[in-house]
Amino acid sequence: MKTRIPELRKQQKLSQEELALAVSVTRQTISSLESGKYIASLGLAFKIARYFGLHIEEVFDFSELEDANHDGNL
Amino acid sequence: MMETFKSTLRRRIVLGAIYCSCACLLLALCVNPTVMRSTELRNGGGATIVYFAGLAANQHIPSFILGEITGVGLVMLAYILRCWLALRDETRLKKLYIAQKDERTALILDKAGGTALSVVIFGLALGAAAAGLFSEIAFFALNAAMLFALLVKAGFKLFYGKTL
Repeated sequence: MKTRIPELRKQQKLSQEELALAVSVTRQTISSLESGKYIASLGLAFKIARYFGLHIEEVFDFSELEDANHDGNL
Repeated sequence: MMETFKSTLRRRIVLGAIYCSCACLLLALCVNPTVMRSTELRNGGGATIVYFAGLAANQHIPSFILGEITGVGLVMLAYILRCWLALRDETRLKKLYIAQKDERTALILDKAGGTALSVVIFGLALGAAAAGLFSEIAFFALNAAMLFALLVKAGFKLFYGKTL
């Protein structure tokens, strides 16, 4: 899943470590989220979005999931 | 949330300390020559878990078990130290909390555990079949271990099927 986390981090001059500490996860989790290897739980997605003062769908790109749903793969 | 975690750490320290005390007591008993019961045991390189030694089929087995108990004790000691340091320092506490509650780490452990158990069951089945060619005892022991692993897996599957 694509996310805007790297972009938002750069805007706020935050390191992965700082964001990780703020949302109580490890730096590796943030790194995996940014590279799209890992999909955040609803709780973590909410925490990250709230940290940046945005809605979940403004941080995480759900278009792949929507496409899969339309194709009947979900 | 942190208070709950702190009390969990305190509980773990107490349990770890109980284990370490028991392990130390056992070690003290085992290295004390007055509790060694026979020359045979002394020749076994201190194979002296006092009760078990008399029953064990091989004199090296008690030494092996003693080694395992000591190893687990050392790991436990390191963990106790980590918890104790975390309880004295908020930064360490937060780091330990994150390390233990991180959702990706939990997912990795879940996936690794599930896959590992399946591989173990398969390995035990293969091992049992191979051992059957050489030893009846090994064949039944490996089959029993495989059945136990299967039962554990089925049990957890049922439990989580009902609770989640």
